[in-house]
Amino acid sequence: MNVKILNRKENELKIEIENEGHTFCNVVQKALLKDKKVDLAGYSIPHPLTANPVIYLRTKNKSKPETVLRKAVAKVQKDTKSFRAAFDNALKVYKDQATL
Amino acid sequence: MHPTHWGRLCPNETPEGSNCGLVKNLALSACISVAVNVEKVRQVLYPMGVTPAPDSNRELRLSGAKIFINGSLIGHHPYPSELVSELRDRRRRGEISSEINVAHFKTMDRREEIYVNCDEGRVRRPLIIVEKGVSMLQPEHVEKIRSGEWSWEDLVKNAIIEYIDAEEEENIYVALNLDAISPKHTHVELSSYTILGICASLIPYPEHNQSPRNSYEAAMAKQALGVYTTNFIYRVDSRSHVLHYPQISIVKTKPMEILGYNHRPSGQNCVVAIISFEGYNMEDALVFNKASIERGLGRSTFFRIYEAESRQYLGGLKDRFIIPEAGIRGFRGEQYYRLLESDGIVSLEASTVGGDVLIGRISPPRFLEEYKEFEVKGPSMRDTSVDVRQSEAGIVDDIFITESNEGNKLVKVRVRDQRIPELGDKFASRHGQKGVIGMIVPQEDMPFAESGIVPDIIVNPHAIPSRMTIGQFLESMAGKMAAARGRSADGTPFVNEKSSEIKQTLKDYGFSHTGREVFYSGITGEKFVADIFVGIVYYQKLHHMVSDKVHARARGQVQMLTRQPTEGRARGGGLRFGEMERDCLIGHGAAMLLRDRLLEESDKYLLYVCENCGYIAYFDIKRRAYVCRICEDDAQISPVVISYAFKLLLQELMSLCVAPKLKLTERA
Amino acid sequence: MSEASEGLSYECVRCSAKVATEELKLRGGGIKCTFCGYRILRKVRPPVIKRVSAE
Repeated sequence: MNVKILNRKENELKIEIENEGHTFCNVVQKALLKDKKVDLAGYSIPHPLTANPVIYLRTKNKSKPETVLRKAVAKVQKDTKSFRAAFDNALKVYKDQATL
Repeated sequence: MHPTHWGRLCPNETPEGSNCGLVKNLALSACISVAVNVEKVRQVLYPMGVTPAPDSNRELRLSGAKIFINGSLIGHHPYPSELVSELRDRRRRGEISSEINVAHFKTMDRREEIYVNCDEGRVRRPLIIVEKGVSMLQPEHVEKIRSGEWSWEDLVKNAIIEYIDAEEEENIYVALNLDAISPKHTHVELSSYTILGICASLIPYPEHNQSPRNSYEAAMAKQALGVYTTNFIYRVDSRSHVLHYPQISIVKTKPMEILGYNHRPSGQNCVVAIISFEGYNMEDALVFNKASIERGLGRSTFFRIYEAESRQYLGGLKDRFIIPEAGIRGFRGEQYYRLLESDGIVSLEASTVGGDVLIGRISPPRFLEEYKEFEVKGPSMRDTSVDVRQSEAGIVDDIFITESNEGNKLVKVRVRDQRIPELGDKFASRHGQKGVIGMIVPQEDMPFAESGIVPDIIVNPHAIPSRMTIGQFLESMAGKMAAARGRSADGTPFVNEKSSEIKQTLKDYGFSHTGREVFYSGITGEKFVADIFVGIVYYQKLHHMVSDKVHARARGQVQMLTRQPTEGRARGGGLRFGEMERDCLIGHGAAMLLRDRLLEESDKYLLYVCENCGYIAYFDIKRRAYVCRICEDDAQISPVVISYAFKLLLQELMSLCVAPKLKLTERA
Repeated sequence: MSEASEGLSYECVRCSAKVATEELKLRGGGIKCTFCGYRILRKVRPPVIKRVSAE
């Protein structure tokens, strides 16, 4: 995954991510929006056939956007891992029941 | 429209634009009369009591009715009503031709007139005869037709159905359907949907659409791709399209069965949702499901025939099919002939691109006689090979070699090109809702219902309010109902499955009676606040595809006469910057842009004019200068920048002996 | 008319018989099937293997 920083200001960060789509960006956006330190978080795909998505983030007051972004991404990773574990477990339980 | 068009001409099938109303189409049940001998009719009428015109005495001429055959007066008759009913009875019994129609006119001030018509060209329509309030068509007759014992002619022969022309229709009282028959009625309609023509009969629920929308669909049905005939593999049609996976529409009309449309359908049933999607379906654009296209939705193949004949000329010279050699005049370049086999013809299944030669041919030079005069050996053979059209590509599908009428060898090459739906291809439903693909969206980003159903096509809701094409909504719900219950729906004009039935059936199968369903966004996974209207609609692929239209030109060929860019995509032409476009630039005050469009990018020309006399100067080769013939030494030659078309105009005027003089002034 | 050699053959559209080009020349160069006399011939597909991508 190639990330290109387009714009970096005091509280703002705009990055372009290559070869990703809604699958990644939407999840990150939702995670960012849950964070109280985030003022504005959004993404757009200029054109699905020709362009890469651009994520824009603006934080409140003294928070640095990179930190907030890292925190959000880490949260997403944690949630995905725990979901995967829960899903595998549920699948195992279902299979065991089926064989009974 | 005129009331007489009822049952004779289709009210909806007529072209838009210049031919509107002039080009008409016959209604389904209408037929045109063929002539009956006038003499025979006369010989029938005279014995019935018609006194020939010369013989009628004054009294008869005043009190009796005038009898006309094909508009010409032939005589008089004292008891017109009896004559008319006797004629009609004889026609029903088969004693006189069923082509004859009789009309009886009684007006307060004029005397009665009877018009007997037996000429050709009358548009007639069949109606079921009603006697004393009872239709002549009874269940046992229907049974006989079903079993095949009786045919249509038997119905006419047995006086159950008769053909009525426009004039006789004035004397009858037609009931719209069997329930409406009263003792006063004389006939009853076969079916009300026979007022429509062929194309309009394909539209489901048309009575719920705004009328012009039906007219648009009647025109577009003729542009839809399908399987035009099953032997297309063996045919050499100059251009043809074939849809890969045609489907019979799930919402059918009765005329479709009659016409045989269901044997060669021209569209596919698609799951259609009505939502604004990411802004890509605005202004009638459609959003297509990428996975559906990959599974074959809307795929078609385009065939084109290229032909070449090896002609024979005077003096024994003839064309030859051969791979041209490098020295020949007009040789294109080694790579363009790479696909040819030893007989000069491309091999089957070769992949070709625009410019590749399909049939290598060399021809003797034209105008050979002129060279013979000078005893100079004229130039050698020139290349007249047939190549693939510049903007097209394809695979060689089949090659036929045969002899023409003159005995020359004739080669026809068919090239096929698979057309997978792409951005810009035109599609339409059967309700005048045409649109071009605006975006192809992966299935995972599509809105999905709880059942997992994902739309094939997403239509913008803005396409509905001003167009009032409710037929599409009804078709959508009927299609959904038909898919759920496993039996196709009937959308025949006027006698279709009513919306109340559709709603009830939808409820029975667990769908909402509104046709809407709960959808979730494919992008965020959240439920949409509003339920989305979704159903099954028959969509047609029209033969306007973007790959046939996309065209670009920077600089290229110009015409010989005007030195302006050529016209037409096939000739690499330019787009016309017309008078109205010129007006727009003038309005903006964009003088330099205008100059660029009209001179630099078109036919700029430097003309040498003699300032003295105002005529065009010409270049003298020996003296290597421009001279003016008229004012030899007084001549003052100066160059002027004009368009070549203007110089042409000057020369054309000169050819008419009009002397156009140019007054020049020094540029400030 | 046609300048061919090297085992190019055509197929009659009606009776599917194979006609080689030398034979055509023998019979006066006119296009005609040797077996049934039908005057429309098809070119035969060369035995080349083609790779088609699934798209």
